[in-house]
Amino acid sequence: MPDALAHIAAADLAGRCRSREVAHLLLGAILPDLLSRPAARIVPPALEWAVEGLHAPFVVLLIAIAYLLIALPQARRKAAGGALLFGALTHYVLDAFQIQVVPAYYWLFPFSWKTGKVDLFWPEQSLYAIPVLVGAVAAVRIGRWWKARRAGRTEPAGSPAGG
Amino acid sequence: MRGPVHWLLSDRRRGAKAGICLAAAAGIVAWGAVRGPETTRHFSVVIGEPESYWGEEVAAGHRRVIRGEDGVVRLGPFVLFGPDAARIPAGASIISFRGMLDPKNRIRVTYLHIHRFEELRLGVSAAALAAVVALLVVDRRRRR
Repeated sequence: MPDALAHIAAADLAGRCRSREVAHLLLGAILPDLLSRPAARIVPPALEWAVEGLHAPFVVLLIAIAYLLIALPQARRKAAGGALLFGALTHYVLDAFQIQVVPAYYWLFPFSWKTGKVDLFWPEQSLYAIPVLVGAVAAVRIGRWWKARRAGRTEPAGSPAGG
Repeated sequence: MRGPVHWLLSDRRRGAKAGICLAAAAGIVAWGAVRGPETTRHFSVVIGEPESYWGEEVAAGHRRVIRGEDGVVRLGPFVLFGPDAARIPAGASIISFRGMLDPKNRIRVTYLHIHRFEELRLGVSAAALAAVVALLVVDRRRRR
């Protein structure tokens, strides 16, 4: 897995959602690792494979639905769910590009044990990309803020504010 | 239009739906834990009868390999050797490798990658996690 900062930076760059759902977009971007990595650290090394399923998309989807139902009001579930799942999608896309010496990600689990990968970078190499990713996120955010500020200035007085 | 997604995310029997989702997730993970050993081989170095893998290629990902004071590199009950094994730093390292197991429980390493910056990666990930949790807390307070 690339580190969590690379995951959330990539999700932030790729995703465009309502500003109130940004937290869920970023949560989705680290959700597979949030579920599986602590569990993998708790169990003995010889049993790490036993919690591998917590990283699988189908399992993450079920847990995300449970989270939406328990933690959020009905009016927000669809938007928050979309942001959460899009964040998780960006996570899996990044993971797919990581070099794996051994089979590690079972995309179709529990329906299949087949794995697929692109072998583009080693896990720790995402650290080298962090300055670029964080810089890109900052540039995009500042750009959006600047655009919104200019739009606010040019808006005629008395007109309703845009959502 | 009200479809299955609307029903799934509606308040109607939401406790039961959430419970079913969590139970299904737990059941699937448990099923994978039971079925995994027969289907996957990436932990074959760590568990199982070594004799059954004689001459076969073995692999391990993210395993802790210990170089003892005697200079010997060990992975569980196995000893790693060969020029690549000699590159493993002293102390504990997390590596991915491939190798050939011989009848003496020794693995000649044929491919090696040392995962570096493990602590830095953990630190960066912890900071990112803290940022997301802070965002969620702020979001929750704002809603109140």
